[in-house]
Amino acid sequence: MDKISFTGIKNVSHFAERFKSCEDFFTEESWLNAELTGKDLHRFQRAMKRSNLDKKDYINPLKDNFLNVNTYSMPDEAAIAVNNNLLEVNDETLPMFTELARITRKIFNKKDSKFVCDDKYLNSDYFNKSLFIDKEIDDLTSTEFHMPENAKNGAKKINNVIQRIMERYFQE
Amino acid sequence: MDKVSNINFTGISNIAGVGFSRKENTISRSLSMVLKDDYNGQDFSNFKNVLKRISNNSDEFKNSISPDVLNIECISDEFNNKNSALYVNGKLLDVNDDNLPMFSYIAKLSKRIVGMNYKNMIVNNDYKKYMADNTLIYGVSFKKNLPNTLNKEEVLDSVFSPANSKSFAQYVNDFVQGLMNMYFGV
Repeated sequence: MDKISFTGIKNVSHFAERFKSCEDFFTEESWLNAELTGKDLHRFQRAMKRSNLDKKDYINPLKDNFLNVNTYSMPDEAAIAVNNNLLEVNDETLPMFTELARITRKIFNKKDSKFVCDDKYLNSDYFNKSLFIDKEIDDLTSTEFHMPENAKNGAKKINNVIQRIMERYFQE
Repeated sequence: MDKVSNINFTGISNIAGVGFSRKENTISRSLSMVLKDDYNGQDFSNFKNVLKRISNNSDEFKNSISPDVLNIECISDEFNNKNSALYVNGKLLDVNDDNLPMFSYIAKLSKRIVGMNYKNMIVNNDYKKYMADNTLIYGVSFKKNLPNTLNKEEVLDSVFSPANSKSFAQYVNDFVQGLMNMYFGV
């Protein structure tokens, strides 16, 4: 049988950290990394173009088809960075927010059995580096971050932050 | 105090809110207003700019009575929130990426109306007398659809009351939020 090739969203990992600030409120930082292929990659690239985001600023520094999302939220504020670059919210960038909402929704709704981590990725440095980009993590910790349940929770968290940002934007 | 500074130039006037039903089991809430360009605001131009961004055909969302009138209608199914839809000057505004700038515009516009001072909510008598009948509900005469038992002039006054307009603006704002939450949410 021919080798089955997988297209879509794969190699998803996530980590979130919650801490109490000196002003006594909680802030949370979340990271999510995924590899986009096929239609999902195409849709992401199209959203980048439609949002007038400069490709050189928003392309993943490790691998072109990786998407790294980093969110930061506290009670009255939330921010999101795509591939290590802050994503401002304005009418122009709304297509990118829609696309990030779509990707996180797709990850959240994925069946556990559909979570794919391919061999090539598992055996590469990307497995340990992709989530934090400039920081490497050990194999055991990284395995935990790639577990389907963890990735799904992360996608939900990030989707919530996107919703909060949108809510605030439409309420301004 | 300088008299001129006491005059308000918001660019939005003749704001009115009406609740009605076009067909069985649906509820419509309509917010209408006149947009204009003046010293402090470019509301009519801003609206036209948003139209340009979302449609290749500038007449697509144009008000058939007068281009500076904007009618926003929120239609919801009494039993199913998922069937909610927003109409701009009688035309369905689909929830998609292309139309997001219009949703954003309507959210901000309605928020502005909610925050307006009562004294700044100006209603022009000529507008109320000659135009309102055809602008309050898109494509339909307002007065003709009122039961004869009601005092039509009194009802007309009430739909233009600042408190009523503000509550409809708040409804529109919440409605857009709801549509956006469904669009972006899990």
